[in-house]
Amino acid sequence: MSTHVAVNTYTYSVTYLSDKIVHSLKEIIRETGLDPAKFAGNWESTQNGISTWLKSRHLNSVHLEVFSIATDKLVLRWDLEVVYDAPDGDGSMWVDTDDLCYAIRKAGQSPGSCDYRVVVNTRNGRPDVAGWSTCSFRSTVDFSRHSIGTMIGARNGLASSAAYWSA
Amino acid sequence: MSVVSRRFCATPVRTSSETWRAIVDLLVQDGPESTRSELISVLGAAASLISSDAMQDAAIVCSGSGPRVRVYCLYGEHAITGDDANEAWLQHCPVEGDWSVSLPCPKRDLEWVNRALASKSDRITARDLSERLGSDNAEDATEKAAAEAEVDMEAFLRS
Repeated sequence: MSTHVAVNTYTYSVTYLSDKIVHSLKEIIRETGLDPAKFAGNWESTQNGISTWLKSRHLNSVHLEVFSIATDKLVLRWDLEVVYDAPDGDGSMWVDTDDLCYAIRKAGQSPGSCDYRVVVNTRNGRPDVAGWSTCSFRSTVDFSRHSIGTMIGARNGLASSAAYWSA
Repeated sequence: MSVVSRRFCATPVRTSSETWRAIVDLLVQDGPESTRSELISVLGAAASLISSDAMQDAAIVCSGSGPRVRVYCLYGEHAITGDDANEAWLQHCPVEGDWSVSLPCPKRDLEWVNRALASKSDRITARDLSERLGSDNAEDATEKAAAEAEVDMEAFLRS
């Protein structure tokens, strides 16, 4: 009986964290001045990938790359890193949207004529998920990384911290 | 206007995508596959609203055949305990005939959500979640009163 409860509890943590990561990406896209409609069109496959790889513990981090349509060069990048051994605090599940919104404003809006994509970094041996393919990151040379701290706490050691890269 | 309400367990019991699919199952039941496809075509926009906790206090409102259907979502511990959940099958299929679905939406998302919805369906729209649709409070009160109404057998037998 206790094993059953533990499994369910971890599943809740995975569901919560995957949902809040996808939600946070949408918030970043909108507040950066980009159109979330394209992201919404891939909502379920994005959520399935993140959820599957969180459950299998293959997911290292989720990234939003904002790039120039004209040059294909990186303009801004957001990193949501997964933590599997975070302290649980008071045991609640939480997301700090205020800190996120503050950081988004600080990172600034993207200039016009930009597009975006979601990229994940996983450990080797991940299970395949429909809608995902392999790719390489755009270069962050000459960019600076700004750490924001833990944005989402999901119990059972699961959490996510955020950072962004700007030129 | 008669009304029925349902409360679905959302995050962390279901992802926002799974929650929308469960709600679509409730609304469509054994109805036309084209209607199910139309509702599923807006999954991304609808799931984004579910993930914003928009359905905690404001309902998805479905108007069509039979009583109006109002669907709320439960989040966090309320979803886990499921004490207030009501996902029971409806006695009617509300998405028959001239149906429409209105989704509650945070003001900051209203512009892009309505644009995304309009590209997929002319029956599914979003409204500012702070705006009450029709007479929400009155409908909820009417439904609650109807649910709580019981025959006073003692008074009935005395008459």
